[in-house]
Amino acid sequence: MGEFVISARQFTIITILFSIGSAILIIPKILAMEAKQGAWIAAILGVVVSILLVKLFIAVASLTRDMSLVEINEKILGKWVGKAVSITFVFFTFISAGVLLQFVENFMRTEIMPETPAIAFNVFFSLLIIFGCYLGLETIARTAELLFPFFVLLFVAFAVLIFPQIDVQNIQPVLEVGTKPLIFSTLLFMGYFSFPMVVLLMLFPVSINEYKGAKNAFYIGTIIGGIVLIVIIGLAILVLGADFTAHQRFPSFTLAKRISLGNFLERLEVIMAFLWIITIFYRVLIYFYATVIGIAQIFNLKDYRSLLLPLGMILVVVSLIVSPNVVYTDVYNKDIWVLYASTYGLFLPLVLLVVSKIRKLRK
Amino acid sequence: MLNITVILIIVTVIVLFEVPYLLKKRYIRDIWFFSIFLSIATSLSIAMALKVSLPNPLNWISFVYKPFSNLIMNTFQ
Repeated sequence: MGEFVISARQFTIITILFSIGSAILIIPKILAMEAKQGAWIAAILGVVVSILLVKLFIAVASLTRDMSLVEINEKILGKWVGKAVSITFVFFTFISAGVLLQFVENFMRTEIMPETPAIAFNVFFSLLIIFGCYLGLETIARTAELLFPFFVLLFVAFAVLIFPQIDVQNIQPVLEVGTKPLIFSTLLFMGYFSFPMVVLLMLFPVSINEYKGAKNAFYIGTIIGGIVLIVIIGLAILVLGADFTAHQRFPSFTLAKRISLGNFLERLEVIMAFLWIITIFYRVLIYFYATVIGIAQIFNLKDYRSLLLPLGMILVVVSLIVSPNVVYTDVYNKDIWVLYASTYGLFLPLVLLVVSKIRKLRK
Repeated sequence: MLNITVILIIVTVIVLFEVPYLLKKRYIRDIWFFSIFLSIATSLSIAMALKVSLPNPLNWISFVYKPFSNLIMNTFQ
């Protein structure tokens, strides 16, 4: 495969963009539904617990410093069990990429370009993803570095412009819901924010040229991504109110529509949509890249690039079958996704650590 | 019919793109997996074009995780 080398700072930026991903559009709605005005508390809790989760990921990566997750599976669980687990992992990343691709198409088609046929978004977006993966990890990382200042600018502008419309009353009563829904909301938050970060373990130790800086990069990326999400959720509740947020398809978009400064600076929501297109793009990109690299590593292929076009075609088909209607997607997002993501984001790393300890004791 | 023709043209272009490079470098395993994935992709695309209803992978995932989901819901609600 060759060693792809990216710097720690590039990994930080990739982590930030990846962790925000689609969470920035989905999380405000789901958390407002469960935790109502306490959604921002659930978000803060979620970020704090996620830091522990990242510690877990780094511990798994430290077992062997230069292997990706798929290779670690094989080394620790044995050749055949490891390959089987890796195949299910690759299935996970692939299906998630397909679901996200459908999400992009849904968002673009309902809010921004309603008259374009759905397939166009799927095909064009996946062509972009294929091209990105073809150019390789270094290019992906450099693009992230280039897009990041743009992202920061848009985000700060967004927060500043919407700030005047805050109504502090909206955040009261603060702890209306009890502890149980709060914990559930924290879990939901982590399902979209940190459990998917296990996929970054395909990149994590392997690709970075300085190990110590890489660990800090992972932490810093998580914290900054978390802060962005906390701010968005806070703003959504403060400006729109918990009930209204819970009923929007895309609360962040509704929030952006509210920007109005002196009757002059209005209708900026499409520019803000660029924020999410960047983060969602990065999430789908990394999912797909992990899938392709994973398959190449499981089956010992020489070059992952030949798989890009066929897998891209399958990805488009998957993204077209994965959402028969909105209710189905909503139920999937709320009930099933967190558990599915936690299998790989929580249980797989734990199992790997436990098995490696047992193996060490046996020796 | 037009849909299928377009799909087959795209598939041919993909083959023309990738296979000479793989043959030149003698990556036999790669050619095998490329062919397997490409045939899956072609059959799925043609099935989509013929409006055959394809099974939804999320149904399989939900089937596996529904019991745990019910468990969690009961614990937390």
